[in-house]
Amino acid sequence: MKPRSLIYALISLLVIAGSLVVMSHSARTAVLQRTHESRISPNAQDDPQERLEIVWMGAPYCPTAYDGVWIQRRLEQAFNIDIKPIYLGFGQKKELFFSGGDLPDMSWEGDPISVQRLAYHGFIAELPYELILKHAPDYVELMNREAPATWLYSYWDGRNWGLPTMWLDGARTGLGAWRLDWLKRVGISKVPETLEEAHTALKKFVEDDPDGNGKNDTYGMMGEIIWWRCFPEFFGAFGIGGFAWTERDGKAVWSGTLPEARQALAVLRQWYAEGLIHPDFIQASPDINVQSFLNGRTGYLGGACGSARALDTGDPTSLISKLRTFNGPEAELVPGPLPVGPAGKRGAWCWGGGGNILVFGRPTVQQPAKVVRILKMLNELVINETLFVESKVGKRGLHWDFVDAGGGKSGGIRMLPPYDVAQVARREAIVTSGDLGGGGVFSPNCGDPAIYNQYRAAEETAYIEKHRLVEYRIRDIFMKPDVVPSAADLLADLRNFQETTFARIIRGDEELDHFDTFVEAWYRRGGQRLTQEANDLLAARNTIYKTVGVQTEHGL
Amino acid sequence: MTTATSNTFMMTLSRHRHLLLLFLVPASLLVIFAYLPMFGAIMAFKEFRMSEGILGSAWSGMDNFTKLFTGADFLRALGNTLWISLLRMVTGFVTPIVLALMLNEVRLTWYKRSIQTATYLPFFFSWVILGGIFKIMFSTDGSINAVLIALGGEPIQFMADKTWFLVILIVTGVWQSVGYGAVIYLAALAGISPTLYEAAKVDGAGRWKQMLHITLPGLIPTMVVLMILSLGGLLNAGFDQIYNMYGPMVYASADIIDTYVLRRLVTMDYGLATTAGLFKGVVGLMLIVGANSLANRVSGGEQGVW
Repeated sequence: MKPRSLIYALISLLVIAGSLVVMSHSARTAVLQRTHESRISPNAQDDPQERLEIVWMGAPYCPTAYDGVWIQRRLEQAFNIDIKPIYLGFGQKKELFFSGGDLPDMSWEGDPISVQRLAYHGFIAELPYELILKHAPDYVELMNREAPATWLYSYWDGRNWGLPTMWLDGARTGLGAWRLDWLKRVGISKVPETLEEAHTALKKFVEDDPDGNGKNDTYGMMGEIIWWRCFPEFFGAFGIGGFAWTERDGKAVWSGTLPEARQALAVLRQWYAEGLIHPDFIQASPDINVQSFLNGRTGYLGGACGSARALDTGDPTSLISKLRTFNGPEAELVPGPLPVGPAGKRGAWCWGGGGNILVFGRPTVQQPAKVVRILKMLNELVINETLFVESKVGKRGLHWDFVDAGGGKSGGIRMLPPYDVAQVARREAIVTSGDLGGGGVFSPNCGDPAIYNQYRAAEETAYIEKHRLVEYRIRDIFMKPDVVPSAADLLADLRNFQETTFARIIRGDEELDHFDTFVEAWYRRGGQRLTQEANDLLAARNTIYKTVGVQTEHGL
Repeated sequence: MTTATSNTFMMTLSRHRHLLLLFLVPASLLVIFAYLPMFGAIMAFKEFRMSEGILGSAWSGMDNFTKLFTGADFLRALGNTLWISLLRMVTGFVTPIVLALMLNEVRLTWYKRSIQTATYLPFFFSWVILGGIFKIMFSTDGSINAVLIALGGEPIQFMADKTWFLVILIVTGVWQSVGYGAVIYLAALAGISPTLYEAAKVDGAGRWKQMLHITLPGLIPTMVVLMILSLGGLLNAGFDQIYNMYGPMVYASADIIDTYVLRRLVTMDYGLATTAGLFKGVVGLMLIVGANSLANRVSGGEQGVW
């Protein structure tokens, strides 16, 4: 073939290609343009007699489940609907569904940032607060009471784009674990309760050979530098979370730039210099942190004892069982209270009680009855105890039963074989977190703690209420810091920058005074803009609170 | 076009019709998966909204480029990318040649095959797994430090030191890919005529002289082609590996364009992703064209890819 013919051939190929693109593009645009209106009517109603079909793209916990599981059928019957489920796994490309024009009626979104993007791309419908208030009043009441800032998860561009869910277990602080046998061996009889006592114990772990092997090979603890696991109990001893929006004199500020952060760093830096902190804290890997504790290299592990299950010697996967596998049967664990700081402060950053977000595909603007029905269903699941439990773990006697048949709820529940195997339970879209407060495919909200706490073993509830105290939680004022609009552009860079700087200060690569340089650079590199947006959001939050009727700012 | 030439053309077409039919399959693959998507590159100049489509979205001029290039860490990421990529190119270029030459000299077939398999194997492992393994191996309590301590040394914080981190990055990168590269050179070696070696032996050349004067020159065309093609990937510094291995202490020296873009690409920012891809593609194309014309000029038109 001559070069000229080749060029002609190429050009015609490109032209064909171009027209194909244009054609496919116009087809898709047409689908979306039919539903140009983006707002669901605030006065929408449904006719309870009318059976509705709902395409449901639930939480990505059960990718192997099938159409027609028991829980689905139960909800279909209770709410006169036909659910068409789309089961996805984490990381599966939802966008492919969306960009192909297949918009589900309801879709579960993990983070506020994806809600913002879906709204930007025109995939989802605006959901007026009035509609939620009218059809899901109990749901609203629960959220207003327990985790009001969750409302911001679905807020973007001055409007509301979905219904946030709650995960109220995340509103309690984590809890550390001390090696009790080590404490005893170095002559400490009281579990450390203050920063000072923690320091003494950690120092003895390094110097007094707590494992008795005659070698100087132990550290106090490791910890992690990654933002959401960054020494929360030690920043908490100074009253802040390390990487969170917090309110000072009515203004939103970034906690990592406050003088308290500097004070916490001063302590951690001193501890590092004394050899109390294992140098691999910079690896920012939970596995390495846990493994060093299990290997008997460190004697304190943050956030490890949040459930009584961690101390259950009968469960081979519990923390204590694993610890004994590596260190022999004499290894013992004890929950570590959050240490009290020099000014009497105590606390730890936690996620705060917000869950995820349910959004509604743009075509539901034309069929608002579907949204109304879903709202009614979610509301019913907050108040109807039987239905709530069934929506999480299925039918009693078939999927689950009470542990103590005579004692009823207070002994907790157990899954019946074969559903006691997580993979089998997931095929039935059953919640496998071992707790009714966990989210499910068809029942994404945690529900009312007053209900689900009754189904927890009494000793677990007692453990949580004794050790994971609500009053010591430190929550981001927006729960998730990335609700600010420019988070995608700026927050991740600034977080990396902060992690590096904090690690370098703790390790002694930089002087403590470097913190001031960091603060100045943080504002210069985009923090100024984020702070401005955070304050705008704070004002918006107060307006939203008025609209949805948040009475108090209890716990904020 | 005259009738005569047109006829010749048609005749040529008809003579090779079977070959042309066969060519249709790969050609359509290329069109569908390589050329069709290229039109999407205009997204780099648009404020892309999915509901408005690629053509319907508003033009945004150079906004996406401004957003990409003006981020606080962009220049740093670009610098790191070039530096890491250059180091990789040099090491990744030389080591497969050396391995291939060494394997070529091995006479025990089973030994040669075992080494080849062992060096080729890591190429199939994902960096998600390898990253986790190396993080543990190079940690303070890891196996590498255990050996250092057993030899009487002090433990080294490999992952906290930017120089060590770079060394680990390059060495593990070479380890992972050297076997794959060597296979290509071994194929090229098989293509060198044995008569050349026989003639050299008759002339009294030893193994070393044979390698220097026959094997290496025989490999040069392959080397040039691989070098030119690898330049196209200069702005790909190895995202999989770096993302799975880096940490807060080395963010500043290991942050590359891909990790930088990923942070901005939290979800569905197709405009920005396209901009980054276009930028990398254009730079890569310029380098390939430049390197090819350089190769042509130096070799008098003999060594270029085209």
